[in-house]
Parts: sequence; C-alpha cells; structure tokens
Amino acid sequence: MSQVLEAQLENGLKVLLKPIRTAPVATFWVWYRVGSRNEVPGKTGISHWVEHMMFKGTPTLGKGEIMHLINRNGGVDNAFTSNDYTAYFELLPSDRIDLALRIESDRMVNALFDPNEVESERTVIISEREGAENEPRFWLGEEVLALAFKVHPYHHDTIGWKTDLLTITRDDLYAHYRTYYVPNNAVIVAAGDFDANEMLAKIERAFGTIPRGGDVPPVKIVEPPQEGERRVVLRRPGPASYFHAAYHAPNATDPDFFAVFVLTGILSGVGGMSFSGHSSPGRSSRLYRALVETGLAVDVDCTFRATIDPGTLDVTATARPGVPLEKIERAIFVELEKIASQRVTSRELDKVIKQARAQFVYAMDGVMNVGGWLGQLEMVASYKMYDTFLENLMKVTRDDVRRVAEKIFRETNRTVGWFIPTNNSAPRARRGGHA
Amino acid sequence: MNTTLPITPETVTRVTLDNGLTILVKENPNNASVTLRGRLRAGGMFDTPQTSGLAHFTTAALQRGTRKRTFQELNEELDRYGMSFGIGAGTETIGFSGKSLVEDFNRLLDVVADVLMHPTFPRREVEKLRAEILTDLEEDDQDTQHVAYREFRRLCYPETHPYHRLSDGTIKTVKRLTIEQLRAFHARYFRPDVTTLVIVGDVRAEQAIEKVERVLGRWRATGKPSPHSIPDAPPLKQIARRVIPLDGKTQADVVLGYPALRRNDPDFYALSLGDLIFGRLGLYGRLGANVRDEQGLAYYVFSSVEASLGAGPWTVRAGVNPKNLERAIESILAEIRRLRSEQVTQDELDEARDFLTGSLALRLETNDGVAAILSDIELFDLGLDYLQRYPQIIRSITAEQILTTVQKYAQVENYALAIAGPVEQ
Repeated sequence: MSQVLEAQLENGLKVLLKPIRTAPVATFWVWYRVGSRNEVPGKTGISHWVEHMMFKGTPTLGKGEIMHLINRNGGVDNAFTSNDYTAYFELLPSDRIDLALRIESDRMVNALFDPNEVESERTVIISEREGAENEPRFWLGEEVLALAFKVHPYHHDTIGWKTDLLTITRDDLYAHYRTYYVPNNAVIVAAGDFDANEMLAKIERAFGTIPRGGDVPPVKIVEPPQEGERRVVLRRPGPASYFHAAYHAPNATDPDFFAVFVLTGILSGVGGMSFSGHSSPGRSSRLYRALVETGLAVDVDCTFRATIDPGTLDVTATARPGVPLEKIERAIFVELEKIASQRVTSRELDKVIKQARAQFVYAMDGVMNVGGWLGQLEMVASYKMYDTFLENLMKVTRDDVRRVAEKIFRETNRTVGWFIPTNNSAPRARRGGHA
Repeated sequence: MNTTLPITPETVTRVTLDNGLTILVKENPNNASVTLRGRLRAGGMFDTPQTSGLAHFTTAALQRGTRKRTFQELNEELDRYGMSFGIGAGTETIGFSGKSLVEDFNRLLDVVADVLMHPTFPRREVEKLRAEILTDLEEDDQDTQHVAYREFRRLCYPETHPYHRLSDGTIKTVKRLTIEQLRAFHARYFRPDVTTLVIVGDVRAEQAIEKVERVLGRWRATGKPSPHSIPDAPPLKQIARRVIPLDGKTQADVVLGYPALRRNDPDFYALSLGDLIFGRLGLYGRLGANVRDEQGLAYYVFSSVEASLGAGPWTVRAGVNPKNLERAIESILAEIRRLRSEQVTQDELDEARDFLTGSLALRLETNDGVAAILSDIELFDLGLDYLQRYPQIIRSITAEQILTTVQKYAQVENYALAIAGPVEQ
C-alpha cells in the first residue's frame, strides 16, 4: 500500500498512518501482539478476558464512560481477540478523532481491573462461550483444533476452556495486562481524513510519555511434525452430520504462503482474505462441484488464514440428510489427492487471481477496512505485504500449487473430525436448569 | 475533504423506465467498484400457510438456471470476474445485491437481468436446492436463537397475519412445493413495476441508466401488481409465554416483545430513540448496563424495533444460562417498567440524538452503506432530501414524546415471551 507513513516512538510504539480524504471519517486502531497464542495451560482465554476488562474503566474514564463519549461524538468502537493479536478500534467523524487517542492512550496503562468488575465479567465471558456451545460446529472445531496441535497454543480457541474461565483470578488478568499492554508491544494504525504529520504529532503527545515496558516473553513453542492421522468422532444432539479436516499449513511469512492461498482459492474460491469477513465460497470451485453439485453435501468450504506460526488449512462440510460421513470424506479426499497429483489449469489460476484482485478493491471501500487490513498484516507479517500481495499471487505457478498441495494433503498431516447427531427421538438427557 | 452529504436530490439520479422499473444512481469515483442493490415489493406475505416458504424457495431457485446460463455457467461467470450476486426473499420484499469491478459492470447487469427475467427452474437443480433448504430448516429447528424468535413471532401476531410466520417455510410445506408453483410465483410477482434498482459506484449516472435500460427495458408485466399491504397487528391482551426445550444446548435464548409500528408511523422516531436508550446505545443501553455489566447475566442482551411496511415487532433478545433465566427476565421487565414510568434523562436523550445525527457520516462512508440507505429511502418513500431533514427530525423529539410512545407500545402485563434451550417446559 502506497503512502503509508511509518514511524516509531522512542518508547517502541510503532505507528502506521494512511490518509484517505474521500469522506469526513477516520478510524484509529491499537493492535497488541498478544492473543491466545501467548497463553499457558490453566490460563486459556485470558487475553480475550483482558480485552473485555478494557471497557471497565480507568481512574479518569469510569466504567461505561468510553461508550458514552463515543456515542456523544457519533462514533462506534469495539475490540476483538484472535490467537495472534488483540485489536481495539474507533470509527469517528474525522473532526472527533482526538477522542480515540485519549481513550486508547489512557487504557494502554490505566485500566483498573476492579475485582467486582472481574467477577461480573467472568459470567459474561462464560455466557459468551455457552452461546457458542449451542452450535454443533463449535464443539467439532474445538475438538479438531485440540487434536491437531499437541504442544503449540493454537491448541485452544481464544474463548478458552470453561474450567480455566472459572479459575482465572483478577491478579492473573492484571499481570497479563501489564506484561503485554506496553508501547513496545503495540502498533497504532490510523486511516482516513487527516493529515499524516499532524496525526503523528498528536500520537506523540498522547502516547509518547508512556514508558517502555519489559520485553514480552517470546513464544518459542514449535509444533512437532505430525506422525500419523488423528481422528475424533463426536456424538451429540444436532441437526446434521458435520465433517472437519485440519491440515498443518504454512504461516504468513513462509515463501509458500501465496501458493497455499491460491490452492485454497481453487478449492473453494477467494473471499476468506477479505478483512470484513468470509464471503460464501465460490460455486464454480472444485470442492463445491464435487460435494454440493453431486448432492453429497449441502455446503463445503476450505479456509486458510494468515497466522504468525504455522496454523491449519481447514476443510469443512455439512452432509446432506441421509448421506454418511464416509462418503463425504471420500469425496473430499479424492479432490485433495487430485490437486496434489495433477496440475491445475491455467484458467483456474487466472480465475483465482482475478477474484483476489476484485476482493482487494472491494476491501478498500471504507477506512475501517483499510485500517483492519494494515493492522492484521502487520501483526502476522508486515503491513508491506499488502503492496506486493497481488504481485506475489501472480508469481504462483501451476507447479507450485501442486507441490504445496502434495506437501499439505498427506494422511499423516491431517486431523479428521466427525460430528454425528445422536437420535433426537431418544429420551432427552437434559443438563440442569428449570424454566 | 468532501463534507457534503452523498445523498441529496442534486447528487442522486432517479428515473422510472416505461415498464415501471425505478433506478437510483449515486456516482462515487473513489473506489473502482460498483455496488448494485435491488428490491421487489413481494415476498413471503403472498404465501399461504399451505405454501409457506414458496417465495423463499422461488427466489433461491432463480439462480439455478436461466434461459442464457445453466447454474454452473452462471457460477463460473460470477467467479471468473470476481463478482458477487445474491438474492433472497423476506416477508414483504425480495432483495438482491451484487458487486463487481467497474470494468465488469455490464456483465453483472446482464446476470441480474437474466436471473430476474428468465429463470428456467431445471428439475435437477431445484431438487438439490430443496435438499439444501430442508437441511437449513433442520438446522434452524435446533438453533436456539432461531427457534426462540420464530416462536415469539407466533405468539406476537395472530395466525392470519403475515408476520405470524417466517418466510423460509416449514419442512412440511417445502417438501410439498412443486416446480409449477415456483414458476407461477415468479410469473406473478416478479415484475418491473414493483422493482427498484440502486447503483452506487464509479459509473456515470446517464450511462448506468442506459445500460440498465438495455438489459431490463424489455421486461414486461401484464395487468396490475398484486396489492401489497400488511394488515394492522392487534395489541397483545395477556402474557403469552412459550418454552421450547432443546437437547444438547448450554444456553437458553430469550425473545420478549410486542407488535410495534410501521416505518412510516409518526411515532417511529420517538420509539427509535427510546429503543436506543433502552437497549442499544454503546454496549446495549440500559439493558446492557443492568443485565450484562452489573449482573453479569448475559453476553448479549439488546432491543430492536423492526419497523417495516407493516407493524414489525419491538423485541428484547438475550442469551442466558438456564439457572439465571428467571432473574434475567425479571431484570428485563424491571427495565421496561422503568422506561414506562419516568422520562429518559436529558443526558440520555442528548447522547441518543448526538449518536444518530453524528454517526450518519459513518453509515455513508462506503458504497454498500450509501446503497442500503438509498434503498430504504425508496422503499419507505422518505424523499431524496431525507438526510438533509434527518438531524432536525431527531432533534425535535422530546423526552415526553418518548415516554408516551413507549407507554403505548411496551407493557409489563401483556407481552409475548419465547424461550428455547436446555430448559423444562
């Protein structure tokens, strides 16, 4: 991306500014290099919980006050936590953007973590997890992930294990906050209607006095190569049978990243890279034609995300009623073996590149998207990756696609999960609670 | 910096073709793409209890084969050019949206015209689609949020009212719908004189309109369109409560509410402001502050007013652990009681007004945002000067008006309440 002003303050805080002066709005983001990847057993879910506590007050901005200020100024704000990072953002009319700097510089150091607030948030977080538990695919995804990673913290979801959510203490949370919420572990991204030099001066004033923190503990854990196929069969009440296979795949800085991106696009279309969310898989893609067109499945998808450490490439499908998962699995494996043994056509390659090009243009409509893209890429690799993204995609050859497919789609590299619905007419085993 | 509103009578071009098709175009040269959004005044409201899901099924089937393209060819064309297109039926409108790079806009329009005018409903594809819809319905049947909302609508509206049921139908009805019924629905309700097309992007208005005319100008309909109106909804006379136990769930989802008002009702703005303060602003307004923040009972608890062509519902929705269910419902009712008994504070009112007027710029920042607002302006006949008038409308609403309006629609002794999850009946 051209015209990004990059700077670093003396306390180590990195700043990326992208003026876009087409509409009177601006977005301000702080990205912290912390997520579930940085969590240890017994403390899973702690990064996400810290994120919630950042809305619970500082000595100068009491609980709820951030929201009131944002509303009064016609803005929106929120935050999210992934395995690799935690991000906070505001979107405001551009003449009100100073408010974002005030809020973010304050809570980078001054969040209170009042013990009462920690307790009431504990049940909110557990409720967030329980909402997800109502969805069969959540259970299957969690089991597959836990099996695919034996030692690396990608083993657990960002929400964390419920048993940990019951035992994490206020002091655990505060220690996590103090360790990772330091300027030298954060990146500011702003995009929108402002002058870059003026914005940089404002950022220096608001954040420059925050002292540099200690170096954050590095994540040194490396997932050992998988030695054999792993499987899990889950039987729970549910409306359909679900399939999920996870293959270990390269990280964002791996030279093969772009080839795997193209591979995923040929299998199920491009859309997953769009920052604003995952669009529906391409219906002309190989997996859709092999699974849905043939009437075996009602949906199928292949996803691959840019991550700091090697993550997974996932293939998921929902069986059409009456179709056993064996058949779904066989059809998927046939497709994966085909792409690993025969070169894709140049027509398929061209299609993926055009799709990616279109998705890039769409994603640039709106300053929020631009801020999100820059920050996300900076967290997992470098924001500069954006500039060369399409160029790198175009360098991918048909041989590259076959080569990475062969490397990834091996039996010993996969974890397979089946969700089989238990008979709904059987006597109901209820878990507590009365209306 | 461009500080003028993107939607004004001067900046939007609006024309109606000979065949009755209405086109709105807003030029935006800042992104090399085009967003297309359309609406037809038709939908599940034309289904009977026996054909429930027909509008939904018909609409989804349009893309499964047309005179010019098989389903596979259509998919290939969309993917090849990185375009997107989707169409779906609601209760009173059928909506579609598409996106392409500027250079491919002609192709996108051609696809849209083909799908709207010339679907062929090939048997093999329709049957595959039927299986997909049936699986969706099976999944919905075990989705606690969906089940709670569906049951709420049954409790809230009488059986004869179109809002009594959701537009996607039931397993029983969808199994029975025939291709002939799909064809007939398309022939009767898909017509240019009930259709609006909104185009926002890097195009010249005149040229865009010419292009639309080229592909959709020959679209003809016979006779007059079917009357498109939603009857009034009677107020609730008692507490209607239903519990739907679902196995294998951890959380119970709750929907509590009332039939409320039409988008064009003079009470709309007062109720919207009241709703904002009650259960939306920031992290869910007063409801969020009480139920989530203070008591830690729920990750989500919020309210919404679904004002449309008919009197849509005003609802509160929450997801709670079953052991906290009664406490959460009591707390929601306590907030309704408070909202009905005293005026909102000046601070709350100022905050809600500032948010609505201030955040307008945010909603208009993208092509998609502009297209969505234009589409609503057209459907509800708000006028292209609507956004210019909007701040004044919002500023004129008083705390007193909000109080009398919420008293009119929200009751503590009469409400509909549906609960789905791991709970006993």
